[in-house]
Amino acid sequence: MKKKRKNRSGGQQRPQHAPQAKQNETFQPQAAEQISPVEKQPSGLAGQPAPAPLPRDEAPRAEAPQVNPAPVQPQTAPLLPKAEKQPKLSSSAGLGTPLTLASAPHLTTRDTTRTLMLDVLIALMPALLFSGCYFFGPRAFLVSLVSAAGCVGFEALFCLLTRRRQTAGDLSAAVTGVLLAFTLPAGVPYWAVLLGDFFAIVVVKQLFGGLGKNFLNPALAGRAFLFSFPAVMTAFPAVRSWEGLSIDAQSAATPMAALHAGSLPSASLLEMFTGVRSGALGEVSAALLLLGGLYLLVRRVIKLRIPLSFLGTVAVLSWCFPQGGNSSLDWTLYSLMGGGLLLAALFMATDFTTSPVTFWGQVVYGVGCGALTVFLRTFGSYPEGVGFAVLMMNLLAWLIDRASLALRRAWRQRKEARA
Amino acid sequence: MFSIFSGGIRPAQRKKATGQLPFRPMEQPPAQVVLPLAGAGTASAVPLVVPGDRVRAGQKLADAVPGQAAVHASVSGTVAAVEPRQQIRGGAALSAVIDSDGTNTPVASPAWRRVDKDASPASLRPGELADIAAQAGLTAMDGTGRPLSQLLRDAMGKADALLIDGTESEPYVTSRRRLMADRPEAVLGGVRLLMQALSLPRATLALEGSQYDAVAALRSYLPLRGGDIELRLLRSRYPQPLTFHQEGRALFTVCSAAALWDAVYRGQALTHRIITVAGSAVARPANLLVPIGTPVSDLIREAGGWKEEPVRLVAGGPMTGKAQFDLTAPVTGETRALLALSAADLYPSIRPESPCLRCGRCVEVCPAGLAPLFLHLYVRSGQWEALEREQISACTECGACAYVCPAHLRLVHSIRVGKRRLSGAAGRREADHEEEA
Ligand code: SF4
Ligand code: SF4
Repeated sequence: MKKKRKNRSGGQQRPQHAPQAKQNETFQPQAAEQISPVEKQPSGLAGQPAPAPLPRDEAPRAEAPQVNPAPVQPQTAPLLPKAEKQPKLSSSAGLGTPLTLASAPHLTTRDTTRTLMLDVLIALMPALLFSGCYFFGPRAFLVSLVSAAGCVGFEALFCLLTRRRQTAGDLSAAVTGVLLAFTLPAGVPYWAVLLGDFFAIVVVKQLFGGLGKNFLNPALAGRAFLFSFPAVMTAFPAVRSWEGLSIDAQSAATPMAALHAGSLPSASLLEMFTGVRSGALGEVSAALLLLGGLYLLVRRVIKLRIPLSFLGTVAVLSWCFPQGGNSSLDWTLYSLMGGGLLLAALFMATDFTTSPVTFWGQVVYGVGCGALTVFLRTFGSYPEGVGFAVLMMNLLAWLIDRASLALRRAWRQRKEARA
Repeated sequence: MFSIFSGGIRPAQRKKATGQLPFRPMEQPPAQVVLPLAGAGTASAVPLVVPGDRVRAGQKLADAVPGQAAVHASVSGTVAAVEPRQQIRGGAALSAVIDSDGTNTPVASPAWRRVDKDASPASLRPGELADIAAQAGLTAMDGTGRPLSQLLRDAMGKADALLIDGTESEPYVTSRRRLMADRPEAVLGGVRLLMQALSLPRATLALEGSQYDAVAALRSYLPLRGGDIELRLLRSRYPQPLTFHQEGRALFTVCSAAALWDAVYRGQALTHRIITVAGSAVARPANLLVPIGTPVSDLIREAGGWKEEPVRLVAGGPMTGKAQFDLTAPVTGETRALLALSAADLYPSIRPESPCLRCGRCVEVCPAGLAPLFLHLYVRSGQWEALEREQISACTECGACAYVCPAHLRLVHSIRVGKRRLSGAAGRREADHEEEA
């Protein structure tokens, strides 16, 4: 007797062509795993019709396990099994394992959560490598590593303690960890990193249901939480000042601070582009972030619409309202490359879970992020407003989805009515 | 706007094994065929034969009933039984079981006027063509099994355009391609008959650029431009947006067209069709010309038997086909393919589900403009009322959403559960009203 799936509603079930008929009656919302659509076809059958075809040649009939006296119907025999195999009383043509049943489609993409997250990690690598090897020294590596390990560790621990399905392996926590590290100054103390990890993974992500259910971007929320320690969060080491990186190392004014004051930063545009400027660990090099974003686009992990509408809005608004009497072009370029805008637009705002799912929803979301960014940068008391802008739009993502789907339905109904 | 809503995916084609193999008749014809007398959701037709009767190939076994075309014997022999038999679409249906005598003796003459091979389509009246389609038991051959005559009568005078669908964007399936490549005259002749039936001067035949041998074969019978039949080459894409329902446009498959040609010029009822047998679990994938009613097991044997362990046996394309558990189930005129999939073929689709990422890919590809992730959520959390609001009934169960889902959620399965639940609820409500009345 081959292994048989646990019965879901007591007595013997007769095999259905597709299992949904049973679920119709026995489906319980609390037990989603019970309606796993793939199930093994039970091979011994009580009811009828009895789809237990008998082998065509009589010889091995005696060997066949007599499970129950299935009503023998005159029916064509299944094709002969390979000669060397013992035919068995099962509907799988005597090959051993029963055929599986499932709803179509029977093919799916090879992508999984893990491969998508791995792609994001790969896309972050150029920025991290240059940070670690050139801009901020080995400490950048260490901070990122500690942060990623912290996030994965907290996630694993939480799943273990709450007996949830272990999700630490899907790499989404690692992505959160690296992204969080990217928004911190390279000299940040490790306790602060771990605190941010804890807040991001346990409070923001897991307490709301884990992957796919959190409504705030965990990395940005962790960073926002760490703003409770302004001294930690604003001590940006100057670039290429490796030795003695710690919070009391010399801190340099970031380009954002200058922009906030209405003046152009001291770094040249080329320096801004390549990343030879002060700032958070992973945000400094526009070129390397763009490279990573390009990789994600090519791999079709993200779509262009969020980064484009986000950056486009910032560009248009900066162009129209340059501060401090600067030229529109200079102001726009510095605004685009300053602060964490590129990091946020390419890697944070495109986070699947906290962005809308519809095309127009994503466009609206990107525009909202851009507008709020410019607003916060101009009128906020912190120099950099990107993180908070994205967090605010995160809160609206669900609403945007509802609205765009409702519009879509109305549009479809109107089309149908006209037809 | 439209490109966004039309969605669709481009799955790997996996057609190398059978794409270039011309279709062939079965070397070892079935010893017994099982011909269902009832379609999906139709009443069973009254059988015209009783066990023990001798029948000839092409002899009528049951008249048409609404929604179900007439049924003809696909082999000659003796009626062994008329009893419920397991069907590949699921469930049992009353079927005529015929033991073949191996001779395939055809009926003396068909029940309809046989037309001379050189007669032009114009010599036939539109109504007469629909009658022949009804007599010959022709169906849409698109998976629905609707009678062709009914579709023709519905479209007569209403359709102002005719589209013939030769695309097959589901992986593995090559039966239409081989039909067009190996019998181009029948396909084009059938298209002209359909044009005559609808009194339309022109038709468009849609096929995919990847079906290049079919394109070449059809081209050789058509003038480069200005012909009555226009070939439209499409990029492979699943589902094909061009083949969606459109008001005022009649849509038929190339299989129906060729079957109509066979019925009119050869006097043949719908008794055979081309079926692709593929998948890595069979030894010799092939395109077979199969008598309708042949049990699935005979097709597997014809394709060389098992090479690997079959983990799933699918009747139809991999995106919409039905998983089979009973190898005695017979193929029908709607069966495009029989796929014996090994674990390696299936691999990503049998991964366990993981939580939805809200990545939006399912929304992106849905040709119906739905948000499958929410439908899934509502079904799994039992919010049945929300399903109606989300217009779950617009879903065509094309499977594109489940194909792209990186979390490998069984989205289509959930949607089916939801639909069934809703129709059940609606049914119950109606019953309540009836009781009150
Ligand atoms: S494709 Fe899958 S993971 Fe992505 S939103 Fe849809 S259901 Fe969720
Ligand atoms: S199966 Fe339904 S919900 Fe999924 S993509 Fe197709 S039409 Fe949309």
